[in-house]
Amino acid sequence: MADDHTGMDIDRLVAEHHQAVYRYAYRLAGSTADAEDLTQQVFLIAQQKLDQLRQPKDARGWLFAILRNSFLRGRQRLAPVSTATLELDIDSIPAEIPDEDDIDRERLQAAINELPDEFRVVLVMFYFEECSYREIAQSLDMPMGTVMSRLARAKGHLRAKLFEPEPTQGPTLQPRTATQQG
Amino acid sequence: MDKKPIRDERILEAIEACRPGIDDLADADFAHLATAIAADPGLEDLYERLQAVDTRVAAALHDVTVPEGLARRLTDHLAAGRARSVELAEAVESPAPQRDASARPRSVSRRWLVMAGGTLTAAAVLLAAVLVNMTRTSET
Repeated sequence: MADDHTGMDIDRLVAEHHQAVYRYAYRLAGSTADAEDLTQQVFLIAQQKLDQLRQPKDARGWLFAILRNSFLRGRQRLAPVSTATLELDIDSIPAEIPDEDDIDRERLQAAINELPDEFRVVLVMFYFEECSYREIAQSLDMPMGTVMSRLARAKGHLRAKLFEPEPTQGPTLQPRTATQQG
Repeated sequence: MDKKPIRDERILEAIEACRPGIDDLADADFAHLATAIAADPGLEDLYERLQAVDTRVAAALHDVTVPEGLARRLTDHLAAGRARSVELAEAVESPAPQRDASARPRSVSRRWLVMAGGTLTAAAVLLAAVLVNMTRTSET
């Protein structure tokens, strides 16, 4: 199944990119089963459209684009958080920078899962693919202002879920912002 | 104490759009943000903290355990997909049904049967006529 134009074959694509595609799929789909299904779908489409891949160096971005499109087409989300509740929230930026290991992976994915798809894709493109807001706008055919707005609100939601203390009971708990207010 | 909250949405959204570890501030699109940061130490602090947090979040986001045997399952699935495609292609490209090919010789042999039958009938009628004629001749 080697494509004459690029010299790429589908088995090589799988070998080189299946891990990145799966990780991306997991962040979008939110569960291991859905992520594996999505990954299979991506490579099946890639196999059918291999002649569209012009350069081997473009393979990763091409597979990610197939992944995003498959995800957005196949999704019927049930109850994401309302977009009205997603606000620009710089107060959620912690004063003390946490270590990477301090970021709870389950809370991270739960927070992503709460986002509406159109916010989630923008967020994952920013963090996972390191896309600029301009590249995101071009890929999703979306105005740049919309991308910036969605990105800022999605990031604010993520930080709020990750870094704001979980509500606990007890008299010793002080509000996080108490020391910051003048 | 006298810190003023930043309420300019354009500035805040631009800060959020700066990727961690990439000098987006040098981009002309972010010139207004670079100017604002240079003029406001509070904003600069915010920018630095957000860059640091984003670096950690991005790293955490990449930290996903890939299931064992995934590559094998994918290649098996793709091979099965290829096999199905080949079967479909062969079904589409296969020659016309055998029924037509066998129908032709059968119709030819039927024609021969009709012709042979006709010849035999004619011969029988001729023979009968000759016999009748011979009987009449012997009676006279």
